[in-house]
Amino acid sequence: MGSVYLLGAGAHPWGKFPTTPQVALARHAISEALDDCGRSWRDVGGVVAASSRFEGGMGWGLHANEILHNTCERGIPCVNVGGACAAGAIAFATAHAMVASGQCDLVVAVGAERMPKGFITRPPGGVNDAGDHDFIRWKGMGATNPAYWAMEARRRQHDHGTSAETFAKASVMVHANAVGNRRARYRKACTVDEVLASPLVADPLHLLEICAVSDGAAAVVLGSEKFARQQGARALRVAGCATATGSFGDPAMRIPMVSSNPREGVSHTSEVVNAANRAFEMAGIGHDDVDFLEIADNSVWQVLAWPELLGFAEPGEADLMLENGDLAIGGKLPVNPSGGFLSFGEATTAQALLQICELAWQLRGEAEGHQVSNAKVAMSAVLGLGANGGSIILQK
Amino acid sequence: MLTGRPVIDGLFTDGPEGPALLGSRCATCDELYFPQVIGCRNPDCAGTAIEPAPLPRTGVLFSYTWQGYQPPAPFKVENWNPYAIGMVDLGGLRILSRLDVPREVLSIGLPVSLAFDEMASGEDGGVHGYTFTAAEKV
Repeated sequence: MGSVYLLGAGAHPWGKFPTTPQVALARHAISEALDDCGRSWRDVGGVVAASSRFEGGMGWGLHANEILHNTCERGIPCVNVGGACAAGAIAFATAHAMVASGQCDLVVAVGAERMPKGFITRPPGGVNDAGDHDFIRWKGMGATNPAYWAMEARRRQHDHGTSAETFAKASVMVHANAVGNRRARYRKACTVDEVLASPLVADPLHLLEICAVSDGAAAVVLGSEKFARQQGARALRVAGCATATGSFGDPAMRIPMVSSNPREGVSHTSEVVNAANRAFEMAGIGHDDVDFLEIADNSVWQVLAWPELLGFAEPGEADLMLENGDLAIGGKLPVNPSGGFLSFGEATTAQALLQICELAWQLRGEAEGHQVSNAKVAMSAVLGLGANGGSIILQK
Repeated sequence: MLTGRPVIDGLFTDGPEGPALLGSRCATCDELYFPQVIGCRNPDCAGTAIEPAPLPRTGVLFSYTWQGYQPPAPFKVENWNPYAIGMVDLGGLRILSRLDVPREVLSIGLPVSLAFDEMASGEDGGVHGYTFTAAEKV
């Protein structure tokens, strides 16, 4: 397997863009990523797009085809991949494989999304019967995504004594990271009092402790060693790259499921843990080598729980790390220096690619206003509904 | 016996002790699933026979939340008010359910039992859904 390098990274701003077609968001991100590495569409050997269930893709999830139809039609292969909110990581891993195998020298991976307003609802196309988890979840009990995160947060309070103030401090920290990040949608610092005074969406989680939904698009250009050599030091090696599904016996109540079959000794959120472990193995590095993390902070629960689940801390230890400033920019293990989902809002299928762009901007020292100093190894982790996990490690 | 219509056809069954949620049991490894499945996902089990199985009607509250915003369609109840949703341990199976438990009584470890409530009224008996209530009245 050949080495693969991240050559270019680009993103459309995150926000609400009702008059910009989804394919235009994608074009913007790809254009920025190609400019970033001085390449053009003529160099591109393949496109992998994360497929959305909300809109675009000609209604068939053919997002990569739609982009080519609006940009550059010259016969290159397109791959459209599903994976819900982890689809961006799966697109990245697919593009990685296309380059590593020698099929292509230069591949673009892209995710673009325009999100419906409010709670993410049941998408069209499901089977409305008694065997469909998502249907039971919505029709039978109206369990929103924040309700799932809230139950995890409540359980953490029971298991580890995490206080409402500690959860609020996690929100304060992540929002503070975004203040200096020109790309973030929400750049206002907040206080513990403001977090706790914001509406209680699903007890114990307040509005400022869960992520909003956004429109956005992100893209990366991956290339072989040949292209990387031409680019010099700005090319970043993809040290680890893995996708995974869950393990039987995972105790997590996975969105959109209405049950789990917990078994002793099986990790919670195992799809993400499995992906991260494989990424570590591929990179041949350990936890101490990772300089910062970008994780899927759909809520403050993830900010505390995921570093523990991924093996960076013991269960319950993240509370103290947060209190000590270890998870902040400048701390021992910065978590979401970008401002995370809490400050961007989630543009589902684009989100994992934005995480990877952030890894690149940080490692190159281009994260103006929220830079982690001297970062050499960076790791992302993302979760997609239906038990999809993805994790990428970039190395300077 | 329940009157009217279930919120989802085929979600409930008549168990030995009264109406129950309908799941599946793997005839080989005995794993219990909810909702019904067409195959067993235990990687250590090569069994192919799946049987319908009523779920236990009592359990223990593993965690819960109080949902403060009205969920979007297709959820529909008359006279909506904020309400609790929780994870209930039924032996080796954990399921998600609405809870009919007063907010001040909600606590992890609370023994709970299955109940059915009317989500919508109607001359034909209305629509009933499932919930869990405190097993001992408080």
